[in-house]
Amino acid sequence: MFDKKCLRMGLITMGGAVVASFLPALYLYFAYGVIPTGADIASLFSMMAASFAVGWLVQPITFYPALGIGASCLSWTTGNVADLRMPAISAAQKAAGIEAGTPEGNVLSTMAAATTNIVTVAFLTVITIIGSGLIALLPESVTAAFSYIAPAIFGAIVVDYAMKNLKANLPLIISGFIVYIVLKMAGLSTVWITLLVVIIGMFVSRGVFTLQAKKDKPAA
Amino acid sequence: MDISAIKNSPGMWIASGVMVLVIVVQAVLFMRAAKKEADQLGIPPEKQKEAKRSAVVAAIGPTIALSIMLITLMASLGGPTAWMRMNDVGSGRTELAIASMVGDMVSAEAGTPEWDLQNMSYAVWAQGIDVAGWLIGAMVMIVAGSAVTKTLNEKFDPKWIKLLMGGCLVSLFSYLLINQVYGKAPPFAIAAVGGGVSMLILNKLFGSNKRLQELSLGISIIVGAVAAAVAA
Repeated sequence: MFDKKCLRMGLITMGGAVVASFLPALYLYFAYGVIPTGADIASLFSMMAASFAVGWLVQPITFYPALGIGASCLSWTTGNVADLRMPAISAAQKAAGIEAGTPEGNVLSTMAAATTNIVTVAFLTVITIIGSGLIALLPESVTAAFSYIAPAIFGAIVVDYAMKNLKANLPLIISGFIVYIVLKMAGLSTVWITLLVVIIGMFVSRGVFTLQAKKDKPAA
Repeated sequence: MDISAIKNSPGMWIASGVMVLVIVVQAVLFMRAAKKEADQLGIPPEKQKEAKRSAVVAAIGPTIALSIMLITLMASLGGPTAWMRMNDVGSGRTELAIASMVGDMVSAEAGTPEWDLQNMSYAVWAQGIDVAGWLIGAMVMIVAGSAVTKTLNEKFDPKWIKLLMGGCLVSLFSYLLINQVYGKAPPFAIAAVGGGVSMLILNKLFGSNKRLQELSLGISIIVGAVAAAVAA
């Protein structure tokens, strides 16, 4: 059966990707003898988990009904699920005139996801090869601008979130700024500040949600 | 040893290439299985071709946006790491976030080659943990599949789950933004404002233009970084 076959292939290949994701880190250890201490690896894990664990678990399940098993396995190995895989899958189903959620729809979503994975690997590999040369050719005035990329990205993303849902996100952004500044002045390390910003944010979004629910149900 | 030589060493290319190989093998395996199943279900080959072609067309815009991110990542993380992480589930935004998050944990003296190497080691470990987290989370959730969807939506308000999930990302990026600006030189704030204003304008004026929307982050990065470099 197709679904069962997809699940088996998916688990094996994704397991392979889990191993592959640590190879550069292991290479640095074997070639240059540099590795974080056990305690620091644990800190890195808690830092990552604090920031992303909700996403690791909630996102795959959110998209599962739309993707099906095959496309889920393919999409969560390569990422960019919402902005790249999903549009490609719906375009493919639309082009073939086949509805999502049917066995035919699941086969096509698998086919479309596999196609986009190959497209992105091919494209990005070509850009990587050409791109290295491009960067070497760039004048210093341009490469100097690269150090300002991080603040530019985060500024753009925060504005994007605020515009997407002002009522839900603006309180989170303001609370994030306040919590950061207060904890920074208190001398806390950034690992804890990250964790606390996210946790306090959860309470803020719960508060916003409750307030909103109350407003939606007036005079109950 | 020079850190950028290590970042772009043949060993790093090989260690990073394994992930890309896994992705290609996986795509080929699934493509063959899907083709076989599609034939059995009686989907005509022309329809299959049309579907694949539409998928390619839909993927081009976002892929160009990814390559802008790839080039910017190459400057800070080196070719192999940028290539691997842009191909796997680690996103460009996350990799930049990680790179700025681990810096404070490094114990070697700042500005020395030891610091550079240690910082890189911490960054690739954190990236490995992040990518493994996505993969394992997805594997668990795909197996649990429909049963979990049902329980989550029954026990909790799905609207609340969505808000909570999105909220964590918003909090995180608020943290990252203020961390780039607070106590730093003015050009960092100029870059943040430039990126933000550019996104605001692109969203307001071209909100309905899908292609431009896909490029909006890439454009905002350029606007913010150039504004900061000019002001510096």
